[in-house]
Amino acid sequence: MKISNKKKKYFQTESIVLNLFNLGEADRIITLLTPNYGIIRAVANGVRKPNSRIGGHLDILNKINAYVRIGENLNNLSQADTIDGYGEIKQNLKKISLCFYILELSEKFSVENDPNNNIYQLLEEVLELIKSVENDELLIRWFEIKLLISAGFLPELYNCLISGKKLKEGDHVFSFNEGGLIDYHYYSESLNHSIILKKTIKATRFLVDNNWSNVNKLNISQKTINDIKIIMQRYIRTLINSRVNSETFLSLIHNN
Amino acid sequence: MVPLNNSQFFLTSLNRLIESFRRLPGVGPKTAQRLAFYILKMQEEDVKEFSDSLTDLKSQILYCDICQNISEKVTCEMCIDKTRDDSLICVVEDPMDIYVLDKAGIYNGTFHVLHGSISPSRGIGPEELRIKQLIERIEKNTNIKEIIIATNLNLEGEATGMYLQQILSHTKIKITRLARGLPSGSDIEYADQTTISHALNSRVDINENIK
Ligand SMILES: [Zn+2]
Repeated sequence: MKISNKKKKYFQTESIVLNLFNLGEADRIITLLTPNYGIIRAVANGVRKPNSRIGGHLDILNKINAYVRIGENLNNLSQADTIDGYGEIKQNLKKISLCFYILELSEKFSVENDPNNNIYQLLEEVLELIKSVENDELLIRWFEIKLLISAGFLPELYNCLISGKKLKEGDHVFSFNEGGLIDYHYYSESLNHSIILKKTIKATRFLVDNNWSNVNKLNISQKTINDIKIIMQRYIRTLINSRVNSETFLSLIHNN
Repeated sequence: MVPLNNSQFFLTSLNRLIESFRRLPGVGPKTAQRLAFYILKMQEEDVKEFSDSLTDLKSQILYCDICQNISEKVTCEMCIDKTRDDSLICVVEDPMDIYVLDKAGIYNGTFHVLHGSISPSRGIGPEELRIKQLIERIEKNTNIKEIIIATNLNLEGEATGMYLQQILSHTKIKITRLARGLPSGSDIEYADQTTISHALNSRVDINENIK
């Protein structure tokens, strides 16, 4: 979908700043995630200079009200006001590293000018949770799974993707190319497969079906959380066909 | 059929030059063409001088073995200068920031250039910056009393500052952050002298709030 509506030259939208790139002398290209327009990229002129009216509002992670002028080639950000600067997050390096990761994932699973309100709302909800969360490892796992669902990549967790039959309770195999579980006896070392334990399957199903307040009450072992992490991150890499850059910094800060 | 593109009318070498100009900050396609045609008309020796200076820039400019600023010698002028207080190190993202901070005239310590800031989604972590060199420098020079973190006031600059503070927290060195007066979101490179002086004078100790 394109937003090039001839009559509409401006629009105003709530958005979260995913990324900023320096452009030319003092400009920046800003990448925004919006509820109704998907990803929007726009040039923000002169914002690296201290006298810029809008520069102070443009930081990665900020939730802003953006006023965008639609251009033929490039959009232009003409005005911006901060709705939430996430000050509680920005004072904590651990939380920041978490945000870099979830922002990068949100960008990778969103499409330019293709609205996906679910991804926006999920991101908004998770940022709110990060402000005060204790169990951040579990929160990232929950976010990854909910993001996959929002983007239309819910992994199959009940029926074997090869035979189509309902899987019996037990250990099985996650096929990354197939996008979900297959029966244990289809396992092949040479294929993009990984064994997934019964416990991990159950916990993953729970994450799929529940909101955060339920998940947060759950007592999942560190080992299972880590097993979910390994499976989900490999599944994500298969889907986007590249690695998630922020993973490195996230583990550097979290393993310290 | 492929639509006719303006550039197809030009020679390959001219096109290459136009493309090179286009990569420079603030240069659009029109300006790039104008510059390239200007060079085409220049005297041969002038063009030679110009192109030599470009190649020399990369091959002859080194990074100072102490502060990592770009330098023509192994150790830069600033680090050799005995009138500078080498118990102070001001850590900046880019060489340009040094000129701005130094021009304010109230700081007479030394600098350290990281050559960027932590930007995880672009694959830039601590390893990609000259942080290792800063640590080595601190280990070698026991005279260092204070590290002033002067990274940009945005999420990536702050993350870089916090990371430095974390890895230096075991030392006895005082760690301060350039603070007040600098509007958030703007680059230090563009700050005026009064603002810089104020930010340097009002720098805050950040060792305390880590615990
Ligand atoms: Zn030097």
